Amino acid sequence: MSSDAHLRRDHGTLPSSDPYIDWGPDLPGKYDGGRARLLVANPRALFVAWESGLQPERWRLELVVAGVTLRVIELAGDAGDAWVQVSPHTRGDVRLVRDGALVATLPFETPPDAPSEDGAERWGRVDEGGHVQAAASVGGTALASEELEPGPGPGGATSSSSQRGA
Amino acid sequence: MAPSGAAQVGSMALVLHAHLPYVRHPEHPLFLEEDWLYEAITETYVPLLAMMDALRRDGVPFQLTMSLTPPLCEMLADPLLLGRYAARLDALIVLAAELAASHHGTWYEAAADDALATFEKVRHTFRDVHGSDLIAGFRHHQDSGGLNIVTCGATHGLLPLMATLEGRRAQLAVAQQNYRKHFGRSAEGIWLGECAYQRGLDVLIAEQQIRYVFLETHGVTFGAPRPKFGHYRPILSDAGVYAFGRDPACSRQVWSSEQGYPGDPLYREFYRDVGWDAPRELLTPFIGDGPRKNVGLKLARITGKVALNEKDPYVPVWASERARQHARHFLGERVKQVKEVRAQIDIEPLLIAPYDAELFGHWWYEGPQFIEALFRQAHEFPEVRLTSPSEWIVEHPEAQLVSPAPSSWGDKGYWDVWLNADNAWIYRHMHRAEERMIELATAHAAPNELEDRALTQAGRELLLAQSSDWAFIISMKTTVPYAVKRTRVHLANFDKLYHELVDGSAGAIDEAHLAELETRSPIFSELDWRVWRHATSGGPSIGGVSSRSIP
Repeated sequence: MSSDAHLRRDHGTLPSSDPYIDWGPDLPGKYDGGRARLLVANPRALFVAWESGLQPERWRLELVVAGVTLRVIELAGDAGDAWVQVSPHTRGDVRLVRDGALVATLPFETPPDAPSEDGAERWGRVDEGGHVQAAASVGGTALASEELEPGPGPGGATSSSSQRGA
Repeated sequence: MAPSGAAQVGSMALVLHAHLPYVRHPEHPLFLEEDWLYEAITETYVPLLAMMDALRRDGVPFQLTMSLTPPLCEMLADPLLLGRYAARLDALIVLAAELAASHHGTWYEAAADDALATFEKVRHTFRDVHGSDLIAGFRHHQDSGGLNIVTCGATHGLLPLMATLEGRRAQLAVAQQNYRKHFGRSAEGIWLGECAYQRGLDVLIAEQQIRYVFLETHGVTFGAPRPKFGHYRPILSDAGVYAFGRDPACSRQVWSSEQGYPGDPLYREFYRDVGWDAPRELLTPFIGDGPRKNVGLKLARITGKVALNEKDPYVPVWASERARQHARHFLGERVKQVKEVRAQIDIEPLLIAPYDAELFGHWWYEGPQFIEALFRQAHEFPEVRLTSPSEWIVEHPEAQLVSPAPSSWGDKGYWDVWLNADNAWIYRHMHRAEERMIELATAHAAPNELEDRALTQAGRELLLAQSSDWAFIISMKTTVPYAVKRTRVHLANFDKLYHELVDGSAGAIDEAHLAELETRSPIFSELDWRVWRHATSGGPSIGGVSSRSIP
């Protein structure tokens, strides 16, 4: 089993070692109908989760980019999730295979983590109806590409809400 | 100071994002998390309103953009919370008066007197000037010019991690409807929850007649094609939405723990609160029989890197003077910046300076003084004109057509804060609820009155569960049990309503339970659950999440 994948045994319930902490009501352990989901977490990571009513089962996740299988994660059990490493600015699929049969193909596109190489210029303005109309360039001089690079890393802990119990 | 007659070189828009999650607990007389609202009203919202009142009275022009999120607006208009707040403020004044008397003749006298005077001024502004209606106060300043109010997703939901087009559309449509209720017009701009953007969202934003959004810097600079001027001018999406990118230099100067202003030794210390020092009998209105906690009254200054019990007394006049100095320094730095940028791009740059509103006043006590000083001193720095995004796009409608890049303003710039090993468990439940809400809204063509109420409350519970705050708090490991409980409670409430509505038989809906939910979470009285109906006409393809049924 891959180190970044695991069987989900708790189905979203949180075990608590402190009986006096109120974590709220339990949520359903299972829903009607199987489902596979893929969420893009950042340019280099996908989160894939699935559940099925059938068990026991063997699952295989295949990361496919441009027709090439780059990564395979194998698991057993009726439900699970996995973090899948990918490359920035990439389109591809995660294929979910159960007992050797393909059951879902989950497409993804990861965000870029660098400025675009496309330097084409188109200009527009919004008319009164809310539609974009072509406009002439406003002139000016383009910033050098390196000026578009962020500093130590985009975003930052400094920029999220300070209240909310933080 | 700029030489007389210096020409304008660039512009800057100051943007404050005011948001708190919907926290309302009528079932408890004292509830710790409701303090978030009460402290923010006292320390941030009222001081900002008083600042705008003063600037207008003195004829000082200002241009300030604020997002007032729908949950915050709903709480600021909630009679229960406003009543509790008024009582809290009265208790703070009593406490401050006791402390002012007991500290007379000590090193803390000035700080205690200042606290009492500040709370009395807050009460005067809140109760006498604005009749306990802060929304009306903000609306007045928007209608009079000077303040530019934008909206946010209905419950600050993280749109890129939602499962469906309809779910995302509902967050935006409910927000716009709520804005109209509170401000009597449509919102022109939106602060997306956590500035989180994914390709295709611009189409849904444009559907709501919203003209612009704010993005993290790389939401603009990583757009395609490459933006000619980086984040120094807004870009325009093909759907007709302008995107303004955050200027990191403006942020660093205020946010940074190393370079930022709020850490100055003369400023008031946040962490030394009389809730931990004052005699317990004085704190009863705040803590009852419970443990001690911060009450929002502080008498020490930051001093330096010393233990909390070694902090020096706060001296208000020194701190006020430092706030004015920092405002002058900030403006001076912006002048240097716009000159440097203009030399590079040979066209007027626009700096977007966005911050959490609650930084100003709550965390940085002198923050509202800093902003007021900034507006009062701005005429001395004519190289930088203060503007708003609304004003900018009227004056500069032409923009480069660029597709903004997926991004957020959280740590690392994407969605890791809201999707990681600690909180990933919420999404399978959240997505099921989202899909089931679409199923309910689509299936009920002609509901009876009780079903209509149940559908409305189901929509409320889903929206409240979708608040990005819960995943954020779980990530930050602060009040985790509360965030987990809120997520689970709203999802469980939704689940019960879903099954009752699907059942459809007479008596299936537990009316007493429904009434209790309506009493506990009466957010969005105007909510129309039909916004979740299945979109038969299709819509944009939005990346970030894909989902498939499996046998």
